[in-house]
This record gives sequence, C-alpha cells and structure tokens, in this order.
Amino acid sequence: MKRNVWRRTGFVSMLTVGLAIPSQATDPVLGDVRMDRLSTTNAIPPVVFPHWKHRTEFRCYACHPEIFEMRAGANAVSMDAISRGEFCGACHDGHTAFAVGFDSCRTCHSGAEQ
Amino acid sequence: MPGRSQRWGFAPPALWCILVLAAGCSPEVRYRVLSGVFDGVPPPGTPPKERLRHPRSGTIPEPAPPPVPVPGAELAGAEIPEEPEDLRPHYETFAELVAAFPADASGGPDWVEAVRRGLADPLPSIEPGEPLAPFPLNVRLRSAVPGFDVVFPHAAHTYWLRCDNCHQEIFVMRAGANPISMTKIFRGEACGRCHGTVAFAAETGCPRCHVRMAGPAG
Ligand code: HEC
Ligand code: HEC
Ligand code: HEC
Repeated sequence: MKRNVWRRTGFVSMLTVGLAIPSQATDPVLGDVRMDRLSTTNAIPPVVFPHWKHRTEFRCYACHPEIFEMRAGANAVSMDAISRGEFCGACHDGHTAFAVGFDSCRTCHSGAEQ
Repeated sequence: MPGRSQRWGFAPPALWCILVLAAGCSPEVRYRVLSGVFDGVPPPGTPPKERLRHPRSGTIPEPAPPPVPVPGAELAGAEIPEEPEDLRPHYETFAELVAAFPADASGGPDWVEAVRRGLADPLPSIEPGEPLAPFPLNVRLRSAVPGFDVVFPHAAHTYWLRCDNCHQEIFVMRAGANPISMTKIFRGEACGRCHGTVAFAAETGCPRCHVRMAGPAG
C-alpha cells in the first residue's frame, strides 16, 4: 500500500518534469504526420512524426507495411504497445534509436497543445 | 492488514543478536548456541581443518612454449572483425538537411537527386540486410489530354518502396488498368497517396511526372 503510493507519486512527478521540458516543435515539414488518437484526450501534447528524419536513416519498406500500415490513423499506437516493442518501440529501445523515457517525452510529443 | 514480511520483520535483527552474543562467549557456549542454529559446527577442541589447496597452486607453472605459427591461423578468425564504421550521412535538424540537399522546384529537398549524389543512404531494414534489386521499368500513362502523358519510373520508387507497398492495393499491376486524374491526385488518391503527403507535391512537381512539360526534348 505504502509502496504503491510512492510508485504513483513518483510516476506523476516524473511525468510532470518530462513534459515541463519545452517542446522542440519546428515549422511543419512535408511528411510530418500529426498523431493525436489518444494524447489530447489524456491532456498530453500530440505527437508529430517526422518522415524526413526517418527517411535519412531507413527506406520506406523498413517500416511499411509490417510495422506501420501506410495510412494515417490506421495504427493503434499507444505507450503500452511501444513498451511491448511494437510500432515505435521496434526501434526506440535505446539501441537502434533513442529510448522511450521520461527525458525524451518532448522529442516525440512535440505538437502544439490545442 | 499486516503482510507476511511485516510479521517476520523481527527475524533478521534477532538472528544478528544471537550471532553477536555467541561470538563473545566461551567456546562451549558458543558451540551450543551455534550448533542450534547451523549444521556442521565443529565441537570445541577439534584442530582446525587443513584447507584443501587447489592441486595446481603449489607447483610452479612451466613457461608456456612460444606459439608455433600455424599457416593460415591469422586468417581463420584469429582477429574478431571490427564492426564497420558508420559512414552514412546523418542530419540532426531539417535546416541541416535542406542546406545539404539539392532543392526541387518547391524549394524542398529533392530526395531522388540526393540519393543519386550519396547525400542520403537509408538502410533497407532494421536488421542488417541487403536492399532490393533496382527495377528499371518505366510505364507510360497515356493521358486523354494531349501532351500530358506521364512516365512512371519504377526505379525511383523501388529504391524506397517494395512492390507490395503499391501493388495491388494502390495500383493494379497492368499498364492502363488504373484510371488516374489530377483530381484524384489532389484528393490524396493514387499517386497522391504519397505525392503531397511524404513525396514531392503535385502542385510544384508537374514536369517530374509530365515528361512533355519538362521541355521540348521530352
Ligand atoms: C510507387 C508505387 C509502385 C511500386 C513500389 C511498384 N510499382 Fe509497379 N506499377 C506502378 C504503377 C503506377 C504502374 C502503372 C499502372 C498503370 O499503367 O495503370 C505499375 C505497373 C507495373 C507493371 C505493369 C507494367 C505493364 O506494362 O503492364 C508491372 C509488371 C509492375 N508494375 C511490377 C512491379 C514490381 C515487380 C515492383 C517491385 C519491384 C513494382 N511494380 C513496384 C506503381 C508501382
Ligand atoms: C505525381 C505525379 C504528377 C504530378 C506532380 C502532376 N501530375 Fe498531372 N497527372 C498525373 C497522372 C498520373 C495523370 C493521369 C494520366 C492518365 O490519364 O493516365 C495526370 C493527368 C494530368 C492532366 C490530364 C487531366 C487529368 O486531370 O487527368 C493534366 C492537365 C495534368 N495532369 C496537369 C498537371 C499539372 C499542371 C501539374 C503541376 C501542377 C501536374 N499535372 C502534376 C501525375 C502527375
Ligand atoms: C507509395 C508512395 C508513392 C506512390 C503511390 C507514388 N510515388 Fe512517386 N515517388 C515516391 C517517393 C517516395 C519518391 C521519391 C521522391 C520524393 O520523395 O520526393 C517518388 C518519386 C517519383 C518520381 C521521381 C522524380 C525524379 O526526380 O526522378 C516520379 C516521376 C514519380 N514519383 C511519379 C509518380 C507517379 C506518376 C505516381 C502515380 C502513378 C507515383 N509517383 C506514385 C512515392 C510514391
């Protein structure tokens, strides 16, 4: 019971710190995909996926269609799925690309709040 | 509700007390207390057992003979091959990429030309793997409007995309079997699935698709 409370307050404060880091949002680029299936309804800034950045590292068929179906909104991405190694988690594991963690929230949740 | 660990939380300190007390007593008391807690405590008065030495530790090892060179040993995996150095170009920000890449008609980066010049060298897959072979088939899409024929270059696409990214979901694999128009493209269908969303947009790229618009030679 005591430990649970600790874990929960720890999570919330780390999340607050993570999201307090200012957004790295830049001007929109051709290929940016805004992903906001769950974020805004959960009071989290939306994700902007930059195709340009991924294209310099991988060809389209490294991800399409096995990891991501090639249609905006067709992929049920969630933080749970990512931590299971699905979708973004296939690469963002700290090995192929930077890991998903409380110091990197704003790298992906870079969209402007509405 | 007290958990199992709370009920037995006194156990480690009590054990420590027994051990500390036992250490400070006479040999007989120490033996009685300790043998109540542990098995195999030697009774007082037994001479300390001689430690078993490692059989080899007493002898002086003979110096190893100098290695006899085996022909071909240096080739047979004697050296672990180093991981190849990553010489591919990387870009931290989009501004960096725009500065390095050739620009297309819209001012954006021209990915086809950049790949040709080696400014981008994306990997074919997450796991190490070989890229697909180039597929140099050009398909002419004849337009009902004279002068607006399109040449679809497979080569520029198969560098990035696999056949099943387009066939048969977006395009049926037969020349002339796909009714395409600019209206569809601007709506985001056919070529517009990619051109205008991730690849160069139709609004500014007319001559790249409509070869006759590229100049008198086309
Ligand atoms: C970017 C999408 C795209 C990709 C990727 C692609 N194709 Fe095509 N393909 C087309 C289009 C567009 C046509 C023309 C269809 C038409 O004329 O209506 C075509 C036509 C064809 C045709 C018919 C040619 C003819 O003369 O009838 C063949 C065969 C073909 N593709 C094979 C392939 C193979 C093999 C691959 C993988 C190496 C491939 N395509 C990858 C878009 C693509
Ligand atoms: C991504 C490639 C692409 C780009 C860029 C593009 N077009 Fe097209 N266009 C097509 C295709 C494909 C067709 C259909 C050809 C056919 O009839 O099969 C077409 C058809 C047309 C037609 C015939 C009428 C119609 O709507 O089908 C006209 C006119 C035309 N394009 C003008 C333009 C102009 C002007 C531009 C630049 C603003 C442009 N296109 C840019 C691919 C392109
Ligand atoms: C599945 C995505 C996809 C589809 C569908 C697609 N393209 Fe492309 N196309 C690309 C990509 C990616 C490039 C690389 C250039 C870029 O990203 O700007 C490209 C490049 C091209 C080029 C190369 C221009 C050059 O400089 O050599 C032409 C021409 C072209 N596309 C025409 C077409 C036409 C015509 C169609 C429809 C019949 C079509 N494309 C459909 C993704 C696509």
